[in-house]
Amino acid sequence: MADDVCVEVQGVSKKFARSLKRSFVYGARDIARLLLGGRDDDSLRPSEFWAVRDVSFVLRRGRSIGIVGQNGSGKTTLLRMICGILRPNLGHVRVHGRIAPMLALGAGFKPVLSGRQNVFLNLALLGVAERDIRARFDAIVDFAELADAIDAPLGTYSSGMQARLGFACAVHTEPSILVVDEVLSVGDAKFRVKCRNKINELRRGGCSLLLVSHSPVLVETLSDECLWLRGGRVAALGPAREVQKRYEQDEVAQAAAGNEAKGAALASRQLTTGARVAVRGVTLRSGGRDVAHWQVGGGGELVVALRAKEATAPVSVNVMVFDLVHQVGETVQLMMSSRDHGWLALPAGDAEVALELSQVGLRAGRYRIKVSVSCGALHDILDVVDDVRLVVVDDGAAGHGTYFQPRAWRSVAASVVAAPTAVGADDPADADAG
Amino acid sequence: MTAAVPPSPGSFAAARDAVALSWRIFRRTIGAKYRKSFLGYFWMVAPALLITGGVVLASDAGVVDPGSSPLPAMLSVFLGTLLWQVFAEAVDVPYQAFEGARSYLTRVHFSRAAVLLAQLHESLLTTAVRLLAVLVLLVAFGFWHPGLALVPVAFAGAVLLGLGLGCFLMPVCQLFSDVQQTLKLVLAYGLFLTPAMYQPQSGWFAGIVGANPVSPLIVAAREAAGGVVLSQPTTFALVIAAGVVATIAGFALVRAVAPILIERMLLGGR
Repeated sequence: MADDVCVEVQGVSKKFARSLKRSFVYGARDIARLLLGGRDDDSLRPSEFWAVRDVSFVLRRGRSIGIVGQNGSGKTTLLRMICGILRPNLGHVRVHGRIAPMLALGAGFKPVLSGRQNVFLNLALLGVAERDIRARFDAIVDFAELADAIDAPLGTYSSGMQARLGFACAVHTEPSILVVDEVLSVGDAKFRVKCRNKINELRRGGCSLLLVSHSPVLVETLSDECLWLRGGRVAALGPAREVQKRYEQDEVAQAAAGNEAKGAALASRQLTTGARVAVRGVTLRSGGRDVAHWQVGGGGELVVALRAKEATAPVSVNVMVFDLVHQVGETVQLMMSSRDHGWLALPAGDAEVALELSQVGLRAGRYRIKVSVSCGALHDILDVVDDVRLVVVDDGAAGHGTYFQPRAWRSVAASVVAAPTAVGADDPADADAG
Repeated sequence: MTAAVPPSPGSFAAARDAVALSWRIFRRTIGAKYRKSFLGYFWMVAPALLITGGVVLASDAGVVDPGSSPLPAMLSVFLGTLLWQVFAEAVDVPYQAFEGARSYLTRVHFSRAAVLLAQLHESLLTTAVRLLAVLVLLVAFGFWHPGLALVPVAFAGAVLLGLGLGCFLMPVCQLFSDVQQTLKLVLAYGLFLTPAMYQPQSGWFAGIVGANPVSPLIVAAREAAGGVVLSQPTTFALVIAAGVVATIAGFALVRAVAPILIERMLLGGR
């Protein structure tokens, strides 16, 4: 391994079984094979699949790689193999240096022990010597802002306090490689900023970074390179902005293909016996064109085509948006024409109802849209169309926020001396500090 | 900035680090176990005291015959029961070690042997308390002679034998809860297959009790404590040697199969 290489991943593959029962039977067989001197092979047994397949890359000292991909694409499995928690079935991982694994903060925390005892236990597991823990203890408590509660049992801590303590422990191991899996989205805004600044500080000190995040802005800002995993395989590896762009385009293309198929199925629907209203199409538009994605802060339109057997009133068209990335399955928006626009009267035949968003407030990610048509004060459901896919892309407008806030700046007795910095570009403030 | 490189697995430095880490884990976690207990160490000998009391009462009523022993019936039953308990708990050490450390094992890479050793420290503490209780009682009853030195050896044998067996059973217990449930049952009622409470002399039941690997330890410990010559010194030595070999081989096995077990822990199963 070259001197400046701190993580080398070479042809790594990992398989899992979809059936839990089979996975335990295979576990027993694997143990027997291991004891008889057998080796892992390239074949899959019934119910097995490759979670990670033939992945290779190199992380050099002081550099950072962001790993992106849809849920289930193998990101976390890959990080677990790099951290030594899982063993690859094929290929090898070589690590030179101390890893601070931030896969889940606070490994080994015991609720009945005090915060102080948990710091000693946690850092012992992370490989820090007792005398070094004593030397760093005050800094850890200061960072976690838990001086008043450090001797209280951990069970009395809020989840935010536990996350703060976990992060403080991880970054005070003097790591040479940081492995961060989505933990920057844990805790309150102040804590997230603190984490982000601490990671920057470590990186300025020469620490390498492996980052998994669903936030394209975070990946572009913190990473030199980006690794895109699709179905466990490397779909692209290269400059962060370029790979992120390709990843977004792929997501949009997939959503567009799905919506196109759904649209064709909807258009051929007939009103069944007893049905009064049917949704005949759901179209996403932006800038006057049919699209599968909206831009954060840009305009967006959702057009619902309806067919009524007879004149129907009062009707409401309702749009529910579910997050598929950040808070999976959670409803992030519910918009009802009956509340915003008024109850509608549908004539017999075709009608169209459009929801117009002057500025899309959703943050970047993938979403599922459910459109329903309801009637009357109790909202009897007349028809529902689910699983319309939407991709929201961001050029930095939402930043690290959970939604986009339309905004303007005004300065009094202060003047603008440099143009706004684009996401991913070098920050003048960082340059000064460095 | 330091970039400490961990010692290569299997090296002496790795073993030394594992022992040091296990001691640190033990020190930090042992307090938690007895935090909600006011009687603490009493619970380590309470079951044996209860069983002894029950057997003595049954013996006085002529229901149970503890058999001949160089020790008074009460001491003989207490010693035998404690030795079985020490063995049974040592069998459970590897399983409890992995279960208790589930949250670390699935999140951080560190020496797997350290987890096993930390649980062993806990078991050794319990064993030491039990041994001390036995020795105090023996001395109080006037048994003070060089043969007492063999009693700790019998206890050490029970720990090694149990630990070695536990290491071999643990992987299967982790993967299949049926095996773990069966083992729990065997260990809970296995006391009745030892010469702790009675000493059958003939028949198939006597054969089963005689084949129990803990039986030679119980017999030897009683004879040593009573100050008489050991009747089965070779068997006693063989059981101790088997315990040493099983423990060494068991540790190697656990180290080798740990990644396979941890992978299954991550899948959300047992």
